[in-house]
Amino acid sequence: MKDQDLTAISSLLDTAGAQLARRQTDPHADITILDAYTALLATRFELAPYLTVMPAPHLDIDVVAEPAAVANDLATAWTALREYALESNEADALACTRAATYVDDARRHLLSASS
Amino acid sequence: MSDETYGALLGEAERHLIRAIFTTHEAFCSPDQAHQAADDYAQILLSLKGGVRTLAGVAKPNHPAVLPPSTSAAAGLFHALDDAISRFAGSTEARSWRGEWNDCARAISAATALLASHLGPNRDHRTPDAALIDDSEARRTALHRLAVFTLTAAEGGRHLALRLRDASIRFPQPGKLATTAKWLIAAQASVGEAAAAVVIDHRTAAGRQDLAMLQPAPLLVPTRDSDPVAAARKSFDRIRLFAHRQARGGLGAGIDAIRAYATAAMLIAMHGHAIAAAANEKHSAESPSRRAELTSVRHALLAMRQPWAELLSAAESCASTVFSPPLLGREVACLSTSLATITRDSSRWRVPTEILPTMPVEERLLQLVHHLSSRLPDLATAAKAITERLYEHGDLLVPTRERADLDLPYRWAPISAERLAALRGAGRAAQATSAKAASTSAAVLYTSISRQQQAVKPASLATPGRATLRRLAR
Repeated sequence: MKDQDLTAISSLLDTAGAQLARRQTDPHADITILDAYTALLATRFELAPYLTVMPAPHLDIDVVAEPAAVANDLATAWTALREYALESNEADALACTRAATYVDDARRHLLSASS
Repeated sequence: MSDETYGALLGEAERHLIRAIFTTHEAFCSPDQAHQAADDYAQILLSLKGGVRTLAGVAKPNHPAVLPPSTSAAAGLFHALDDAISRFAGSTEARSWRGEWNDCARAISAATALLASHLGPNRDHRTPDAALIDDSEARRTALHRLAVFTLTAAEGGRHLALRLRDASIRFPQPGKLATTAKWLIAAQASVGEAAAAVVIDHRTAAGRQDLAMLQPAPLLVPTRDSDPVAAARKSFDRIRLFAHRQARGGLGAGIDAIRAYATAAMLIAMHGHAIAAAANEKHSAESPSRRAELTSVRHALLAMRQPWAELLSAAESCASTVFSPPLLGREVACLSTSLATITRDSSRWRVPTEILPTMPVEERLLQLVHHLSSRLPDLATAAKAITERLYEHGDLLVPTRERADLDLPYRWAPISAERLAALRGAGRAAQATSAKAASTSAAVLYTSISRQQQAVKPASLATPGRATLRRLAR
């Protein structure tokens, strides 16, 4: 896997996080959006050592430790986000759905890059 | 992953203490500086009290407090420290400023938190290493070292007291600094005497193997408490220990650490608000003053949520090449689960009678809210320190353009002045509102304890003073 793939996966997860973080600034945001963010935050912390993504072009990392395990974690995060979307109000559900889409994109990118 | 040991943290506290004592060679430039030094010194005594309790404490059956055995020299030191703090008229709340006295107090607190991370709420052993804390020889040696430290701190207190007395003459602030100097002279004398007694009593233990090599439990085991209140407390204490070490650069910390702190703070704001709201509703038929107190806590917690959310949002738009240990994320998730167990049933908020079924539960939960909110300024301080360090190292980055094929940020550049200002501003607001929430929850808790004491004590007994109540609340 090339460094730009790792950067792209990390960026997708960051974008998913940003979708949910932006919603937190709305005083009317539901607690479930915070739950969703917490779940994604924990997933990103867990995945960071595997992805070892540095936002710099000079890195030469060509291996993700366990692509299948990482993909599995991302699938779990996607499921959790979809569940939060079902429990949330309209604005929060939209943010959760968008975040879930980015997480799913990250998973697909990981699988295609490591195959 | 580098793990700080108990001995290393104590060593750091000792270095700060010596440097702090050297600072007393210079006169104070302003009355504020003098008051600040006295406040910081009182924080050292408070941290030492916690340290002695954790080292020498024993749990009594059916008694929630863990205290040293009443006849021991350690108990004498504990009570001398307790007495000194209770007589202090200034503030012992955690502050964001950094100075040698303050750094010393923080290092002692971190060392105590390290020991506490191995023990459960009833002093049960959470890790195999916990047995070492209860090993009598290791305990005696560690107590000897702490007593020697306390003795040095008492000696430093004498120098500080003389400087405070100088300042009371130099600056026109009648009585205030002179009173603090008088308190400090009395405090350092009694604490010094009690510390000397422990040093003499434990002299045979000096130099033997102690707890110096003990490492913190948080990096070894996740939370496993079945009691959600204890679990929330433990998870938060570990997050705070992470924050302390990350702020000092002892542990890797990127922008992800700031996201984790902000998430923890927002969880505390939301769930703390739910607990305070439940108490408010439960006592709606009671006196208006009680309602007003609980409402003030709710408002303070809600006011804290927004600045932390702004900080989280600002941090999400940045990146760094350094990463925090994954366990930090897990502790935040544990904190979320524990707090959600208390206040919610799936996606439904529990009704007040479910959250607070009895008075003891209510008291415990209000204490939990106070414990969590009173330490949040520490997280804000750590966030600030990490931001500045990342910026200094040129490691605070932002996306600069989109990748055409992915429609995503791809290239990165150092953060712009505007975004940095936004990040710093959000951090400052989070710090200020957290400090406000901490002081509000403390005031309400003191009043609550006062009411309970008045309810159980015969009318002929004197009402405990504010200082006693403040001490009991800790």
